[in-house]
Amino acid sequence: MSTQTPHADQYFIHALLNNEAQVVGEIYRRFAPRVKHYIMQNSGTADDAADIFQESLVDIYNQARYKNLVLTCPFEPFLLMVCKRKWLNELKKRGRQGVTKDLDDQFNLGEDSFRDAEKTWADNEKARLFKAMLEKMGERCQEIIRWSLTDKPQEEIASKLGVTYGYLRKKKSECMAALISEIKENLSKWGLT
Amino acid sequence: MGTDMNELDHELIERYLSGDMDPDTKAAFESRLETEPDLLHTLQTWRNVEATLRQTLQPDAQREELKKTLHELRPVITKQPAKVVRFNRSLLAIASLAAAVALILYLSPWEQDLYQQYGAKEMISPAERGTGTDTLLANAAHQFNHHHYAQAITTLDKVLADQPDNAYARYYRGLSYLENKQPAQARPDLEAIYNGESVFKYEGAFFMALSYLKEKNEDKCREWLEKIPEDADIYAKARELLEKL
Repeated sequence: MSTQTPHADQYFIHALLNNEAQVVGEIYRRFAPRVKHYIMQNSGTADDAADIFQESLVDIYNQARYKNLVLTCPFEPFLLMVCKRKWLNELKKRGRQGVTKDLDDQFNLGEDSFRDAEKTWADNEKARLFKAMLEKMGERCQEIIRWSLTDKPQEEIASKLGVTYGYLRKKKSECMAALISEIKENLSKWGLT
Repeated sequence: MGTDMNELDHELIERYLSGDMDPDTKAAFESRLETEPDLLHTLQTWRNVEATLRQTLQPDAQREELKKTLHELRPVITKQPAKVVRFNRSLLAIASLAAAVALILYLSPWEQDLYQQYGAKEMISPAERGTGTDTLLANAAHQFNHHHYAQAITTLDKVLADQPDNAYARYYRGLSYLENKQPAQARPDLEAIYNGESVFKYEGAFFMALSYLKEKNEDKCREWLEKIPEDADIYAKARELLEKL
């Protein structure tokens, strides 16, 4: 993420972090029509647009909250880029191609901002992939991984799960290895690298 | 990930990342990392997956609050722009009621079957003016909203016996029949609404269509949906349903 001074539009990001309803409302009123137009021009419905817009804002929240996202360009092109990336991937998942109308000409997103938008989308998509793959695992593995990721001491977790510490460690490493292999197999299917 | 990784390596990674290694083992492991890119790569992925999952799985109350706000703003995108129409005072209450009904219809798109999705959900009680009719209508609203449709029909019968031109009562009696799984009985009321000039006119057509949908008569359903003109509030819903048929 860039170390430049934040763009004046950073207040939109603050509003997402602090759930300022009025400013979030402004985000919808000012920027949603364009996203809706783009998605509806590209085989989507108004409902799709609402989903994509909402998820993109949550992705931006996550990126700001956990990855220190700082806006270095106006908010609108950044948001549109995240939405667009998300929609293109959704179309790909639905097995559809042929996106005809593009947004790119309308916005000149600097290289840094483009990379930040791409990363915002990719980091969040990865998080969704990881979680989805975890949820596909056997119950015991899920239990062990979920517990291990809490801040509780490993000894306490072992006794909670009724196993020895040594067994927990061994089992956890097996489960993690299986999870990682599953993730790697699905990366490209999810449009990730 | 390298194919030569084995269970032991996995356990080493796990121990290394959880800080559970004596200094000698750690030093040996770290020197391996310098010469074995596959091992290093797996270690990095492992760390990334753990960190990401930790962040994803931990409860974030602030994020949940934000999601609620976003959800409330959803209609900004999904709702068709409303037409501005001036009503006289007595129609105003009915108009806001129609808007409320439209909103309720709109708010339940995640229901499973099409009828369920588009069926009427709530009758808004009229403003209290204390007249006998209003009391009856308030009762009917209560019954309707608690899914006692047969009772609502009986109550609305009384209103209509006294005021056969009360479009509000007729419209909701039609809907009550419909919800009570009596689509054939619903139709005379709904058709009368469609033929009249009340604010419910095109809602009447819409629910006529639904009454046929309920009987799996898609042709008739379509026919009624087609009657709804572009400038009606319910038009967007009608188009949406048409597309799904």
